[in-house]
Amino acid sequence: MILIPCPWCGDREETEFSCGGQAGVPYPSDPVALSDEEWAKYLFFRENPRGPFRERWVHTHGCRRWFELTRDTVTHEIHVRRD
Amino acid sequence: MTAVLREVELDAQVSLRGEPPMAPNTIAGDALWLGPDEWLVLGGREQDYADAWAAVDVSASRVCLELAGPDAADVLCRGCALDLHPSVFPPGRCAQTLLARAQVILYRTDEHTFRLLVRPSYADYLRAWLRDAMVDRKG
Amino acid sequence: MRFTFAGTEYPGCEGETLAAALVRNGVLGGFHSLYRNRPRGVYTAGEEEPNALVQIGARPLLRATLVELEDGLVAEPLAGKGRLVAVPDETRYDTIHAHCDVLVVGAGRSGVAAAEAAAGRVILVDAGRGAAGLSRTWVVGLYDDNYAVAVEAERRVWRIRAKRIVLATGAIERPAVYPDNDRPGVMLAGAFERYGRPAGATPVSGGWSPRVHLWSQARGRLRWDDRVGAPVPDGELRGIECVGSVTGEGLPDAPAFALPDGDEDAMFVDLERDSTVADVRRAIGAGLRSVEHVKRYTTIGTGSEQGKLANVNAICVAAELLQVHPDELGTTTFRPPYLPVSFALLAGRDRGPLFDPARVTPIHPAHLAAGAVFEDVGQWKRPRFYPHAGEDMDAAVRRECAAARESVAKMDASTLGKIDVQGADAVEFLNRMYTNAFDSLAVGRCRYAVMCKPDGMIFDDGVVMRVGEQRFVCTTTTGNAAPVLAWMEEWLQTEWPELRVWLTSLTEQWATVAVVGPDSRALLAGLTRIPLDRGAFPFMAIRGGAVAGIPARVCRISFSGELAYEVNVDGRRGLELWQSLDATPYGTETMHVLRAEKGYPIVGQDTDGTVTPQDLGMDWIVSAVKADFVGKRSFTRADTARPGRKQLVGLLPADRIREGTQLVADPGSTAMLGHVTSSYDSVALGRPFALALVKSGRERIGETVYADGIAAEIVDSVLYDREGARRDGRPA
Repeated sequence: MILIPCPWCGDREETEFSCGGQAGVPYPSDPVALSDEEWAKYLFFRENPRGPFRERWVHTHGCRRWFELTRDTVTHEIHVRRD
Repeated sequence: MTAVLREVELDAQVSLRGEPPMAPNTIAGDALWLGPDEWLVLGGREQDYADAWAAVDVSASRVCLELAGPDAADVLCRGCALDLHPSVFPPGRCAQTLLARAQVILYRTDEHTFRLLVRPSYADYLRAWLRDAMVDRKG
Repeated sequence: MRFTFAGTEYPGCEGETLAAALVRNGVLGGFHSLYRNRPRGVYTAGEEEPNALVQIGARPLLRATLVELEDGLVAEPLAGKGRLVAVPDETRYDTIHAHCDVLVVGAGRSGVAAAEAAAGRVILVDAGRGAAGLSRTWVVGLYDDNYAVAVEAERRVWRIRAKRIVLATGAIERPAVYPDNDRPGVMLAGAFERYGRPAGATPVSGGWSPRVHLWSQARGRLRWDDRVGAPVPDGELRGIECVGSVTGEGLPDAPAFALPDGDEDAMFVDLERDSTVADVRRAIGAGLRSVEHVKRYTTIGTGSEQGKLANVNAICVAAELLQVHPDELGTTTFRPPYLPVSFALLAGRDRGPLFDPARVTPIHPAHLAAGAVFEDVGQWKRPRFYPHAGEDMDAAVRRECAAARESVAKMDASTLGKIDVQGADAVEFLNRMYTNAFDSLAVGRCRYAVMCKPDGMIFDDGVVMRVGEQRFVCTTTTGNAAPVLAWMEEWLQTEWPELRVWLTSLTEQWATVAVVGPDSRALLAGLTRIPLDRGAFPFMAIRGGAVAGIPARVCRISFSGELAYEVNVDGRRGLELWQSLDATPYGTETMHVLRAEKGYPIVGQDTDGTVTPQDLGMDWIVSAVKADFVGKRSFTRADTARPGRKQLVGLLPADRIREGTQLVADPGSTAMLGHVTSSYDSVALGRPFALALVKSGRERIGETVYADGIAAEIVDSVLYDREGARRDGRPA
C-alpha cells in the first residue's frame, strides 16, 4: 500500500486517491487542426516507461485536488515536485 | 468498550469558495478547511456570505455523528488509516478521509471526543459499522 | 485435557501444541504424504511443518505445530489437502490500523534489545504465546512504505504503518538430504530438543536458514553465505534493518553440502510436495538453470508451507548437480503472505450487511412501509416496484404504468446526481463540458443535455437548470453522480484553472419526487399556489414556491412523456413531501418501461461507452455553433463518422426477448447485427417491445431480425405518442 504525498493533506494511503495517468499531456489547443492520427495519439496513446514516471493524481476521498508527482514504476518510490 | 455514539443536530451548513480563513486541514471555530479554495461553515447560511466567490446551502448534505469516550480512537482505528494519536491529530485538526467504506470529514473536539460529518445516505451504514466496531476489545 | 486424533483419544497438557502432544503420546507417525502416500510424522516445532497437517471441524490445512490444544479438540490427519466445508464462518474477526515509530518483528534476544533501545512509539511483535509485546502475532506481509500486515491469534488483522522496521525474525533449521530422510520419527534437531528428545525419534540437521522472507518482500537483496549455507540479507533498505540470527550472525556453520549415494527418488527436498533430488535432476536434465524454473518444473516450494524447509536445499541440490556456486542460481521471489491467511479474517467485519454501504434516500422509510421490492443501483437501494397483495412484478408494473399514464403516480428520484455550477464563467464552462450550447438558456428554464468524453462517446446525460444569471444546477444519472463531478473538477483544475466557476454537490441536499400523469396538475394544485396552467408553467420551466407547505423548486421535466413535475425540497423534508402526495408510488421498473416507450435512452443501459449522440439519433443535441467542446473533434474521426455504426432503434418482437441478446438476420446466421439493450412488456402498447443497437439501424426500419429465434421487426425507437401530445396533459 503506497503512501501518496498530497500537497495539501500530507501522506495518505493510496486508497484515498485516483491515478490520472501520465502527466504533461495537455488538451490540444486546436483539435480541428490535428489529423485523425494526431488526435488519436492524444486520445489513446500514453507512455509506459520502466523507471521514473511523471503522473497526475487526485485526492478523491480527501481535498479533491489534482497534483503531479514522479513515481518509479518499478520501486514505487515517489518524488514530489511542486511546480 | 467505553465509547458513546450519538447524533449532533446541525441546523444549517454552508459550503464556501474563496480563500479559506484557516490553515489546511484545520478548524477555526465552526469553519472547517476542505480545500485550498473551499471551506464548510457549520451553522452558516448562504445569504450571509455574499462576499465569497460562491456560497451554497448544504444544510441537508451531511449529518454529524459524535463518538466520545476513552476508547473513541480505538473504535475509529478499526476503519480509519489516519494516525489519530493526540500528538499527531489534536483538537483543531480536521481531515477528509475514509472511515470503513464511507467518506467522512473527521475532527477531534477534545482528547476523547471525535466528530464525523457524513452524507445522510451513508449514515445508517456508518452507525451500524461503528456499533459493530465498538464490540471488539484490544488485547 | 483430552483430545482426539485420527479417531483415537489422547491426554493433553495446557499450553501444548497438538504436535507436541502427539509426540509426547508416542505418535511419531500418523500422517501420509500427498502424492506418494509415504508414512510421515511430526517433523518440526514451527510454522515450517511439512507433514503434520490436520483438519479441525470446518478449518482445513492447519499445522499441528501451530494448533494450541483445547479440551475436546478433534483433529483428522490430512494428506496434503484439506476439505472445504460449506458452513459459514461465524467467528468475529477484527482489524486495527496502527502507527508507530519502530516496529520490531520477533521478540527473541535481539528483538527485545532493539525494542528497548528504540525511542517513540514501539510495537514489538512475536508469534509465541508468552512473548513480550504483541504475542501470538505473525507479520505476514511487508508492503511499500513500511506497511506491515500482521495476524494476531488468527482473529485480528493489524495494519501497521511504521517509520522504521527492525527484523529480528531468526532462522529456520533445515533437514539434511539423504535417502529416506522423510521417515516417521525423523525430525529437525531443534524440534527434537523442544519435544524433550522423544524415544524413537531421529534428529537431523542440514543447517539453519535465516528467515529472510520479510526482508525480501520489501525488495531487500540477498546473497549466498557459504558459512551458513543459505541466503542472508544483503545491502540496505531505507527504514528497514535486520538484527540477530536473520543476518546469519550466531548461527552454526552449516555442514558442507554433498549428495550422498543412494536412491535419489527417496532423498526428499520438499516433503509437502513429495519432491526429491531425482525431480531436481530431471529439471536440470530438461535444460532448466534458474531456481525459479526448477521450482515450477518440480513444484518445490509451492505447497502451503511455501518452501520454508525446501527452498534452500533445492538451491544446494541444483548447484551441486550443475557444479556451480549457489549464488549463480539466484533465489525464488518471496511474496506475502508468509503464512496462509483465511479470506474471512481479511474480510473482518466487512461482510453480510456491512459488506458494502447500503445507501438510502430520506424517503426510504415510506418505501419500506409500502412494501417496496428494492434493486441495487450502485450502492443505492431503489424501489423497483411496489407489489400489492398477490401481485408479481409484471402485475405491479402494469398497475404502476397505468397510474402514470392515466391518473397520477409518484417516484423517488432523489438518487440522481445534482451539481451546483456557479460563477462568472459558468456558461462558458457548461458549453465546454456538454454537447449543447447554453447561451440561450433563459433563467428559469432547463434543458436536456449530453456529456461526451474526448473520444466522442456518451458519458452521461441529465438536465441543466438555469436558476440564476451565473448559477446552474446540473443533474446526472444516479450511478454517475460522483464520476461526473470528479470529471468536471478534473477539467477545471487541470485544463481550465482560469475559469471563474465553482462546483458543489447537491445530490443529498435535495430530495426529488417526480409527480407524473394527466392528473398531476390537479394533485399539485391542491398543494401549492404556484400557477400550474400551461401558459404560466410551460414545459422545461422552473418555478419556486411552497408545495405542501415546504419550500420547493419545481421543474416541468418528463421522463415518461406524460405531464410531469419534479419537486425538489430540502432533503430533511423529503419524507414529509412524499407523504403529502396522494399518488400511486412507482419504482425503477415502471420508470424504465415508460421512458423506453418514448424511445428515451438510459446511459449505461442503451449506451456502453462506445455510443455517440449521433448513434442515438440525437444530432440535434450536438451544437453546430460551438467552436469546440469535449468530444467534438472525435465526431469527425473516420471510425466515428463511418456508415454501418450501430444505431438505436425499436423492436417489435413476437414474444418477450432478453436484454443482451444478439440480433441476426435469420435464425441460422451467426453474424451479429446488433444487440437488445432494453426489453419490456408495454402496457400502453399491449405487447412486448425492445430497444436495440443495430448496425445501420435507421436504414433497416421495416426489416425483420431474430433474437434467440424470435422474430422482431425493426421500428423507430419512439413507439408511443410520437407527436408528444400527452406532454401537456389533458386539453383544458
